[in-house]
Amino acid sequence: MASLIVSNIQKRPTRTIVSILAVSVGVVMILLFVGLAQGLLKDSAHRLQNVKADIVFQPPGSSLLLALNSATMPIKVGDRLLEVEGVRHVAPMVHQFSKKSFSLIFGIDPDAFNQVSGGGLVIMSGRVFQAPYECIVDDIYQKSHQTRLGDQLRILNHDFTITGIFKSGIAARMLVPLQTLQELNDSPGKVSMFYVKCDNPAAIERVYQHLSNQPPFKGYSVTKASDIYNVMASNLPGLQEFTTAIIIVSVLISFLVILLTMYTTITERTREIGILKSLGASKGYIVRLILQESILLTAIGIGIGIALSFVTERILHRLYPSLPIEIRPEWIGYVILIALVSGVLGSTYPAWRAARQDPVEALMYE
Amino acid sequence: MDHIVELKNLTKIFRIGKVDVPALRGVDLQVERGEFLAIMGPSGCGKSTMLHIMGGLLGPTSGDVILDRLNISECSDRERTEIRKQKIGFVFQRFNLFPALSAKDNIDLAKKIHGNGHPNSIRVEEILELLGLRQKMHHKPLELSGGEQQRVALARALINRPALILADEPTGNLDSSNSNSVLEKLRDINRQFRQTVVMITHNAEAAEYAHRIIHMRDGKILNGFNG
Repeated sequence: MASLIVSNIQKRPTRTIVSILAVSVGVVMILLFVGLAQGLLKDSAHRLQNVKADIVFQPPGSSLLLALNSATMPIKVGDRLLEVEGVRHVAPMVHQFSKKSFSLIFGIDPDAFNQVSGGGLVIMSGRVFQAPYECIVDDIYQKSHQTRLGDQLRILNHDFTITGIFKSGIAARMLVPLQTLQELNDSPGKVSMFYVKCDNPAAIERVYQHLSNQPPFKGYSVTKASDIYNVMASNLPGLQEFTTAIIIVSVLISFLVILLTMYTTITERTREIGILKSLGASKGYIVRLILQESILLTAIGIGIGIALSFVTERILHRLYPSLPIEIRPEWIGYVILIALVSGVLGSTYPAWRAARQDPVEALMYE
Repeated sequence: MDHIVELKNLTKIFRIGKVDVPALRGVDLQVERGEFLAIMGPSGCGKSTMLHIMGGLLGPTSGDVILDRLNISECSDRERTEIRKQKIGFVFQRFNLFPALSAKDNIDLAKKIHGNGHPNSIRVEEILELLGLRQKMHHKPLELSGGEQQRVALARALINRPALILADEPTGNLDSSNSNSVLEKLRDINRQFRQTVVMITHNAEAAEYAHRIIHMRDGKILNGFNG
């Protein structure tokens, strides 16, 4: 059976290549799009967590997907937070989503930020901003945009001078003075969130419960740093739907191409199916033959698709270092399963049809 | 008498559109074990239909088909497939080899469908030697002459030592030299292995290789005599 399957696949190289490519495209779509969604999510969560705050405090109804929020919380709330027992430092933050660079810009108070993060903002070259229209960027931004110290950066229709490069993996890729961003946002005295640092790890739960349940903080959005990723993943609007849509489209592509390939294959091979029946091949044998052929095509497609996904991820990473794509091992497992199921489903009807062919009619087929 | 095939009052009617077309009209036939039988008759007389029914590829409309003491007209499709696998070898006019497989792989495929454990099965190399194809075993059908292709088809039919070989105009696509070669091989196999051969032919010379010739017309057997 193996030699027959291999010879059938070799016999029509164009069709074989198209089928394999279709499966590969499905695999690449799932791995890259899901990887991009998860990579963005994880990257955002990590950068939030790397601030080393114990708690993130936001206005009521806010999302951890910062691009969805705006600065609505009075900065004076920070003073009230400092009064809570167990709170050591508080750092305000304003953010703005830049459509131009498709990234977040944070407005921070460097001193307060460094107090919370314990010196987590590491300046690799230059210095932190001191004037209103100065900014610092992380090393990934610097690399991907080929910027240098002293360059001008256009942010919200204003020119900012780059004064320093900081080590990536914390906060945002671009940091500007808190007050400047408040003014440019037309929300002076307002902030988007506070990073809260507690006295010690034992105080975190107590502070969290207090901020969550006690007036005047009740109703605000309070998240422990350790929960950031899970809260983001569960609250991110449309992530599940997006992933499902990508899977459905990929499954449909693989399913339809395999269906079409195997259907035309069995039509072309009607006579061969008749010969197999004359040799005593059972319906089960013919079904297995068709299914195994489609599984082989799918398996090759999966292998190529996985390899292509990693190659594309590497190329994208090189071209756009700030684009975080994360191909997780469990998704490789899922994608193998999804593609195999669509391959088998796509060949089920052709296999059933082949098995039911009348042997005499099949033998007379021209 | 030990009959390998017995057809009793066999009829077959094909429904084409709204019209019933009778192909066999009450055929009675007995084929002895080890016999070489030739069936002759004009096109459309029902020869191939009878052969297909004998081989379990087609079911009769009425009547009985006794194959090796088993009434296959009462068998299910699955049982007929099993009988075909175990007891029958087909040889066709158009050879019907798999073009992408070598001669050896074509024969191997039949062996694998049958199952490799059959005690009577012959080694592929042995059958290729027997049919003078040893040098050509790795050639694909299109690299072989018509006579060689038909000998590969014959080897494929013989590999599992079936009790009955059904040949549907096996020399219809061959020149006289290749025809004689194939017919001689069929006769040798019939003699050497005592395998029953039922062969359809239009060619009177080919029919002379058989022990007995029967003639058909309009879905009926006209007569029968020893060749």
